[in-house]
Amino acid sequence: MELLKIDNLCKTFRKNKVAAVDGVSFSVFKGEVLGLVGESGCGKSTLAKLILRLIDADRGSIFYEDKDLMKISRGDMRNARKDLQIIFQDPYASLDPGMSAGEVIEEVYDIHKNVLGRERKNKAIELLETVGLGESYLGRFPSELSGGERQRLGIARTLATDPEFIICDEPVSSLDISIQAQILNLLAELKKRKNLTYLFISHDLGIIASVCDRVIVMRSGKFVEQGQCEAIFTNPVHDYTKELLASSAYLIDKKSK
Amino acid sequence: MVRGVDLDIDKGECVGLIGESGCGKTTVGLSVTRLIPERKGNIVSGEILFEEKDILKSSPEELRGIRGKKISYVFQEPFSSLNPVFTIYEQIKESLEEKDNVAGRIADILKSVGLEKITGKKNIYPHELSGGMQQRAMIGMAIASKPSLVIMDEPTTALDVTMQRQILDLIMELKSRMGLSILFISHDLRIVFNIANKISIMYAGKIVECAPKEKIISNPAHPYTIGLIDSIPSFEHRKRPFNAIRGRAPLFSNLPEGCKFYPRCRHKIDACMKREPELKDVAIGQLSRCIRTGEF
Repeated sequence: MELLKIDNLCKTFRKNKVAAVDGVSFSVFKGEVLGLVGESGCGKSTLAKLILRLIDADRGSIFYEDKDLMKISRGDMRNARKDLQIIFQDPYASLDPGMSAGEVIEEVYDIHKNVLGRERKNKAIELLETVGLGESYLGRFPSELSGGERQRLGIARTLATDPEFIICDEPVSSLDISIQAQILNLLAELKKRKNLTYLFISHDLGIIASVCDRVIVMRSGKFVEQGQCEAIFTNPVHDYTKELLASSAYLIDKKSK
Repeated sequence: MVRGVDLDIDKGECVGLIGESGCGKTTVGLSVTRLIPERKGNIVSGEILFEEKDILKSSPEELRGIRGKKISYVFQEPFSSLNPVFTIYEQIKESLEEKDNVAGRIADILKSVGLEKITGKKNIYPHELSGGMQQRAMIGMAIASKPSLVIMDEPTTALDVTMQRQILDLIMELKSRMGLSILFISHDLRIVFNIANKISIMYAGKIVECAPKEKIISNPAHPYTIGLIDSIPSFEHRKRPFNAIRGRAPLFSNLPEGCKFYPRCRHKIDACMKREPELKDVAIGQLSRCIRTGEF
């Protein structure tokens, strides 16, 4: 089932002449992990923000379960973001240093007003447990957490609205390798348990290869190739995909050399 | 903090120093030429033998003859390591060993690091170059003094994969052409597998395993090394959970008794908490700091 359908989405920032996202079309199907891979500046994070309307697209359409997100009001969009969520790359930058872990999660309910009163604290505890942190973390501030714990808190906040579709925007790139593996395990487990769908953005082909069902390769705002993960990695068609794979052969197969 | 590290780098060899953030690997690199200011920290004990002389006993003058000359550095962020108000030409000139035929020498260096484009241009500033070209310029500065050892601290971490590949190829080429010895510091085993002859794995300020690359890949001995390798995302173990290392690295202010890795180790036994193990031979050229090495 098509969960999200993007058609001819475009965005050019005022200060630049070239388009950051240049007429891309794709669908995300329920229950899959769709990988979006590309080098820095190719427009992958801009695309993520366009889908959530954190920035507005110039033209094109974004259908989420038959709802045209480009045509709904800001209020309705905020409501839609209960279902469509994002996990950001940098857990250091995306958490308010002045808010405790409990407050970070409860703030979500202030915004969406869907959980009231004392129930909020219980929900916060439940979410912290879901991501492997637990009640003892309620009063802790981001500065007291390690990088991995911060990203777990970021994931708990993302899960607070019970979304069905999550954009993971480089969720592990700022983490150490042992912690990275823990977070990837957590994301895979949550997907299974909550029947989630992911758009997984990364510049690391090793990570894309290990977590995704399908892959889109992006360059200069455009998609150069998309297909099943196996096909892209074993039989790439576009020259740029081939170049990316050749450059990172050692990142994909750990025993390549 | 570094709590007793032994590293040997032979001539023409590339040694990879692997560890997660905060394990002390950068401190090791900086300590080699005593680059850590005294107000921030001291080298309490040990020796650093470079070409059979102890750097720790060198006078300030001798040190100046080594730092940036016989031992040079390439750091992670080229833009913050290059001086923004001097041209690339001036910065390479500064590190030149001999001061005759400067223009010719600089042209040779630029060519050897793949910067033919700016050869002959004296007025190019760092901000005019892309990240990859800046890193090439940094490498140019590092080799200008014809060093015998280059310490590279995450030299490709800030770069995209295609650029990363090009820089690694460049480093390999310079290594064989100039007979350079390299200490390659990185958090990414995958990159070090590509470039190093020998690999040392660091945890909580000490080396926990050290072996030729092939041994680390085919037969890692220390549970931490095994965990790191199991954490590498790759195509071959797609869609399977990682056999990840539990928990997090200890803080130096709160190191556990005994083996520093035991709280996260899946093979721990009571004896692990009693005493920190020594680095012991487990195979030819392979050392591991674990009392249970070989049992799992």
